[in-house]
Amino acid sequence: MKVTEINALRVAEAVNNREVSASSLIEEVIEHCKGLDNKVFSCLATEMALEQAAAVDRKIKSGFNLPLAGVPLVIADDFSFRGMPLALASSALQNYHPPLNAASVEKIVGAGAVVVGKTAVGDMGLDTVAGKSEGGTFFKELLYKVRSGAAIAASCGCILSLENDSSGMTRQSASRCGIFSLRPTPGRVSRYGLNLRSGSFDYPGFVATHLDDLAVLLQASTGYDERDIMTAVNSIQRDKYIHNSNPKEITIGFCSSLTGFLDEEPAAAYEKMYLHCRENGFKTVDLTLDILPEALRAFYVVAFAETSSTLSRFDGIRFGMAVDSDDLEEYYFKTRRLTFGDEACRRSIFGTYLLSENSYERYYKKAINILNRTRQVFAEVLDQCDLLLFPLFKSVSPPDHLNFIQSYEEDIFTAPVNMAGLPSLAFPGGVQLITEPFGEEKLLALGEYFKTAAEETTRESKEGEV
Amino acid sequence: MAYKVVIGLEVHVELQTVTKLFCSCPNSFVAEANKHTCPVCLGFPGTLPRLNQEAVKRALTASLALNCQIALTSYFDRKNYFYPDMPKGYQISQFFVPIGSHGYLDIDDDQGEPKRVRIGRVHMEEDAGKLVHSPAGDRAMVDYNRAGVPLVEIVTEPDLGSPGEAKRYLEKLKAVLQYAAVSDCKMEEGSLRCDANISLRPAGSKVLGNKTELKNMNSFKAVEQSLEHEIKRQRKILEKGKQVLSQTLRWDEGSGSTIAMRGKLQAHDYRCFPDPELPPVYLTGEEVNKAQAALPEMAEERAVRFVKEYGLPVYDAGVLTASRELADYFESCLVHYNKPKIVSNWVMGELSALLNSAGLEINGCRFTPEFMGELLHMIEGRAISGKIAKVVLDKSFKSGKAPGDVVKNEGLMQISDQSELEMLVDKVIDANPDSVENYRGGKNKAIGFLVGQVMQETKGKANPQLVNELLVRKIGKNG
Repeated sequence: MKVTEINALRVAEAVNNREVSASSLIEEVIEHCKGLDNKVFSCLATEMALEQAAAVDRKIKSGFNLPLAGVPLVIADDFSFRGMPLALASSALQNYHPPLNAASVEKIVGAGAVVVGKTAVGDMGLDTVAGKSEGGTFFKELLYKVRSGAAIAASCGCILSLENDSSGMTRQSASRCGIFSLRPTPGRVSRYGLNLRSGSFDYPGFVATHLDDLAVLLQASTGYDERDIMTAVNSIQRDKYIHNSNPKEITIGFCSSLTGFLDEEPAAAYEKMYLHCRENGFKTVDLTLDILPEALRAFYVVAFAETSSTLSRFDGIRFGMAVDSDDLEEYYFKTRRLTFGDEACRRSIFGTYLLSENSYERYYKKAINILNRTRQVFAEVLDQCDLLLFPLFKSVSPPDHLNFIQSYEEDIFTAPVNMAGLPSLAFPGGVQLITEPFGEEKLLALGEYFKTAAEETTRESKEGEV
Repeated sequence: MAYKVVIGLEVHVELQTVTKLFCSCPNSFVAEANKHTCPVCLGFPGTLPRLNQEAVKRALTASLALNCQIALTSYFDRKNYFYPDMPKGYQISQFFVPIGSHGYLDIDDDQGEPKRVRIGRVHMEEDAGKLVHSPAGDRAMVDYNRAGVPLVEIVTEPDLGSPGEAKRYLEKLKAVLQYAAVSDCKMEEGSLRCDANISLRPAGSKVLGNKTELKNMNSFKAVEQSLEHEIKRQRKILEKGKQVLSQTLRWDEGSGSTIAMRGKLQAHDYRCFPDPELPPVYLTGEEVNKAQAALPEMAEERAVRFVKEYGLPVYDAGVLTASRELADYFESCLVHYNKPKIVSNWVMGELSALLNSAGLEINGCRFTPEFMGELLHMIEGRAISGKIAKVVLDKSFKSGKAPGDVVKNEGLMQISDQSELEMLVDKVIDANPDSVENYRGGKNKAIGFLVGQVMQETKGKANPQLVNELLVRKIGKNG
């Protein structure tokens, strides 16, 4: 059995039935990871992973049945996990070994998964660019197209990964890699241990090669965690979300006007998915959403403002690189100048400006108003349909990441959804399904209908390339 | 020219809670540096603040005790600035909507007339750590034990007109917060800290003068002194026709003067904005009503009750209720000895004097209410004289031993044995024939001198009334 070619459910089944040991599986995956581009991972948990796998085997032997037994899990360096450094690609965290575990990762590990390593993130975790690759040609190509280490790792045989899906880059990247990604409703999964840059938007996103596996990941990681007050929503009754899965009774919202924003290929894919809905007997409704450009700008104003403040903790006092200085002010200047990369500097400077006395009302306050309006607009749209079929990106290949404005603009279909706090399921081929808060189960169940269509779409486009 | 003094106070008070404001570290003093810290209060990446509801309750109580309007929905904001004692590079505070606003506190002005001091806001915030300098002075270190300790900041409107009013406001504030069990308000331990804003303007003018901010006052007295000093300093500048510089000044206790810290021109833009990691603080009308009803009896009401219930003079009632602890002590004494005025005299007199000279607060006092009862019963039962009682109190206060034991061990029991006293009286009569003659000649005062002599012989232990009787009888008989 080659673990890198099957799904997590099948792996867990094999380990639970003792067809194969977690130890041998994890050893195989680690060898596989070592063969991947070294820029994808910030660190591999070789020994720790083997110890964890052995522990899983012992549990299975003593009669336990674990939903994710022996399943390899890759986490982005956004998450703290004991035994692995939190590097955030910055000397501001030099030698920092977090004394805490991310709640989400801890829960998934509790379900039997084994953390095999961390994927790299860029500059304080602000950029999901997995570094400037010098690796094999395959990765060069992939890294050019994809910004997310988590998406790359999962699509290259690691099966499951977790990453901070702040603006939607993780979902976009997963889709570009031909796999799936879920961003749950804020509150379903604890954020504790996820390095937050922007508290309003940062949230764990799941990436998987198989749609079924996302449901297992969600189930394993959801629940109340006293360290993240937002998870208190899990105690509310969600019975009302138990849904009907008969296509004839389900309305899919579609925004035909958005195709005008898209390049030829994503536009064709989006329309094809719409037609697929109709063929499968779903009811459809054409809706308009004019707020996206405005929402995107507001998203970045709020994200910059919050990030400028959150990054203040990287001051060289408690961890990270320290410079020599007799003067406190100079100490801050020097340390931050040396440890902050381009994106961290950009967001700190712009964010500081946006919150300053003269621009607070003009930009920040206004952005918050737009944020509230965006929530309302999406809520109104979702009143008219059960699921909203939405694009993920404008073009198949993202713009050069050095052009940061264009990079931000790439988030026009994902950032507003994150702002609205809605769960979103991303498919290969550049589409996402969105629904009302806490409707993840509905998304995952009905996602099966879209999976085949999405996979067909990407296959056709790939064949077209040839 | 006559100037009008305008003072406003900002007071930070540490809330009495079991844990810190946003994590479960203990909120208590510990000597070992960085003992009470965790990833949350150290601001490690990935940690989230979690609001301590007990702190909200105390802040609500403080707001109600200060007659504030309560915001049923209030928020936490980030106040951004860099300092090594602040782990996150920002302080979580309530900037836009504080929990309490538009309150007041009534004090006496300098003429003894009632005066209302408006309180602009009462808001919750987290404390910072402390910088510690190495003994060699070559480096600074940070102790984060205090980082994240819950505070309320209480800000007055510029309603205070003199240093004396400022001091009385602080005393009143302290009493109210202690009564409400919000904080122990110990300025010397830093659980109450005060900054003052002060400006002068020509009497009759409506234009406010430039103000200065005073920091680093470690006692109420220091607040009063620094304000007095600052009035003189500002007046001198104004009288020269110059402008007072708006700046922050540090009170230097040693030299009794103020030293400039930084100009207001370089004042920070704190870039306050709502903390995205904390949900709003919601209170219900019911919760507020409950907290209002649960407010304990405050100093004024208690003083009125002391006058009515115990028949104490208004003055006594005022002194005894100045702090909740003292009033509690007084009432505990009554359980053991139910003569309020006598207890009041001893508490306000001898005991207070001992506390003052020892630099102790009533809760640090080893002379318990039970001891007080025992002591007063001994006086009443003539086992000791009032004079000896003072000696007993002093010894008991210092040693922590029960007054009965002190009397026994030190042999201070009053001499009421008539035969023993008769011998002494005879001795004194023989030794002082002049005084005896004087008394016989009608100078009644002379008997006092003779009693004194007997008392001296017995080191104060003789029963003075009995000595008096014996003397009168003997001198009269012989004559």
